[in-house]
Amino acid sequence: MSAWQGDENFRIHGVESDEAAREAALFAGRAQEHAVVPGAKDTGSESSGLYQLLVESVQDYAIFALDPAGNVLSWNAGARRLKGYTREEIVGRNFSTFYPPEDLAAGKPAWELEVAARDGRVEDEGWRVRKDGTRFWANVVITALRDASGRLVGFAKVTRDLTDRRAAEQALRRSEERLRLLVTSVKDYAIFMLDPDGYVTSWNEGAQRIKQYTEQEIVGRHFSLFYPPEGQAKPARLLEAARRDGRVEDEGWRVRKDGTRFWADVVITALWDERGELVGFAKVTRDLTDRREAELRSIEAARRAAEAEAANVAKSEFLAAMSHELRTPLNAIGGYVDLLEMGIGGPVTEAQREYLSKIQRSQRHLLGIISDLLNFSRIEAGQIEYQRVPVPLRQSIDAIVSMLEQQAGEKGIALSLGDCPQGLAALGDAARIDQIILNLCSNALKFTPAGGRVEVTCQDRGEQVAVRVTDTGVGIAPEQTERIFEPFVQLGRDLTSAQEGTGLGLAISRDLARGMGGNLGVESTLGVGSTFTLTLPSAPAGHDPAASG
Amino acid sequence: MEQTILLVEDNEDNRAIYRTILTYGGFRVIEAVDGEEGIESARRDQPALILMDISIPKIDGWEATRRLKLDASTMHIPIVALTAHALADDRAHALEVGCAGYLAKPVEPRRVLEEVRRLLEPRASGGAGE
Repeated sequence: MSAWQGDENFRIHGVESDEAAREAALFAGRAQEHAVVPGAKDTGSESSGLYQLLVESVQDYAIFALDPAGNVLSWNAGARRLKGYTREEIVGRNFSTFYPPEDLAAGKPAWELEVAARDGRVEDEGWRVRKDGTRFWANVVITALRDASGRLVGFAKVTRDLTDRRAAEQALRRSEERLRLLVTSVKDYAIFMLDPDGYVTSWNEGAQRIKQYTEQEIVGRHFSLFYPPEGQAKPARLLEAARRDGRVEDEGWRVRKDGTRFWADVVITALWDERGELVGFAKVTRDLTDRREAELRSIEAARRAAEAEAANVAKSEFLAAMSHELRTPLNAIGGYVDLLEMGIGGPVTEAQREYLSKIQRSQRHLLGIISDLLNFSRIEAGQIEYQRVPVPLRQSIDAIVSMLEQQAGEKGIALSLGDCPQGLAALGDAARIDQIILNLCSNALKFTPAGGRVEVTCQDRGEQVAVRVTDTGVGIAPEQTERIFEPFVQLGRDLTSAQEGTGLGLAISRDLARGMGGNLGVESTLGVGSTFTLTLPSAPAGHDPAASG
Repeated sequence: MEQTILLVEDNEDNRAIYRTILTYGGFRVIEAVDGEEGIESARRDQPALILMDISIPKIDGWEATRRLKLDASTMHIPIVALTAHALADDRAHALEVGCAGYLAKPVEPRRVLEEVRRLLEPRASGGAGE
């Protein structure tokens, strides 16, 4: 075997030779039958003259004759166009001129003539060289020409320039290769092929990663292997659907090699050849276990949230009902105490009056707790809606101070409204703001000993306004300043057992303040006093007609 | 002449307390235990004032008040709403449906008496009631 036969640029085509090239060769053959000797071309018959004209005019094929030794005998327009030589330049020269050096070194031209002489023809594809030294990719058919007695008189050579086709083929091959590389290296998707019966014929990295089988292990196995025992009817159904509809998609559990399951999204596409015959299926599988688990988690979270919400609603309803049930008898207790005190049931002694007032105080305390509990649960459940209107602070504070003045006087505490700019207004719910300020002032009075002072001031802080309630009371230890805002924490309860309250006032006040976009905080020095600061969004100036009041 | 107060209240203790204080205050008291009875009595007995509990059976106090305010024979009678919840919403609602007054329970009997007097006194000399 000659060395050049290993050359990848050289291929002998048997059955695939181009129809047009074959016909051209036939023409060339016939022409040469009548023109085997140079200079004899004008001695032929009319039909041979026509053949010659035809051959010489063909532009797309180089068609020329060689003598038995391979020297060029004739030349046509196509040959001139392809190879660049004029008839005068080339006739008489050996056709090996057209071969590149590597082919010459391998003895290819002589070998081709040998084969053509032996087999009648030879076909070759490979690089050829033009007159200017450039190369083109040629399809060459060399046909042996024999006279009536069978003597070899020469060869007909038909050459086509396939440079463009070759470039296109190579581009296609490269793109196929790229695609193949792409498919095999994809890790996130299992992409593989099945034959028409469902047996695996190809495998990629993603398939190996997801299903754990190597290519060697799986090619040739049936793809029902990937389905769990309870899903064994599915593979046939899916292939049937893909065959019928062209494509089928499925989501469900699949089994890995180690027996663990994964949640898969599968697309199976039927592949048909140009004759319309099913050649197999492309199967793309995605592992959606994480997504599936996230879905299940979010469903579970939603269910829990709904349950919590339902529990919250149930709790609120329970509290509302309980509060009503508790108030009704308390209302009766208070009512009868009031009737007795008024002497409607007859004269009341001093001692009885004192007992009645203690009953009344306990009754009010209990009512206060019930009302705070209900309020607190409503606030915590987010059931409070807040108005957003300008609330002039000076007026609110003034009203509250007036209301508490008598109580403060009885305790010997100086309660006063300090600096508070006229017209300064918070943006919020007037009733809630009053409730907070009242709570802060009541607390201050409660925890301030006789002879002390409680002062309420307000400040413009730009975006916000602040209401400050400063007392000269017992104060709060630094580590306790946050705890006092927790429900049911009342400092000093043990110190001053006389203090009433539910322990919910500050928790409610802070919730209300935050509900309106503000906050409630405290600064305090033990034994010196405390300042509670309520901040709230400020109302735009000039929008409150009441501010002038 | 005694003025008649219609007390619409389902709780027996409350009825007894309000009846006692109002009688003590010089009023005649008639009673109803639910909204239906209350409306019926208001039409029939033409009281000078109605004390209307809101949480009552059959027809609640809001609805009973609304109906009485739409009825030509009862629309002139002042109604004082008694609610169990001291909510600002309730006060606004009470005014909306046409109540002349509003008392949040728990309310001391003397406050009830004061409220009734406040509403009836200007008309006491004008011959309100029967």
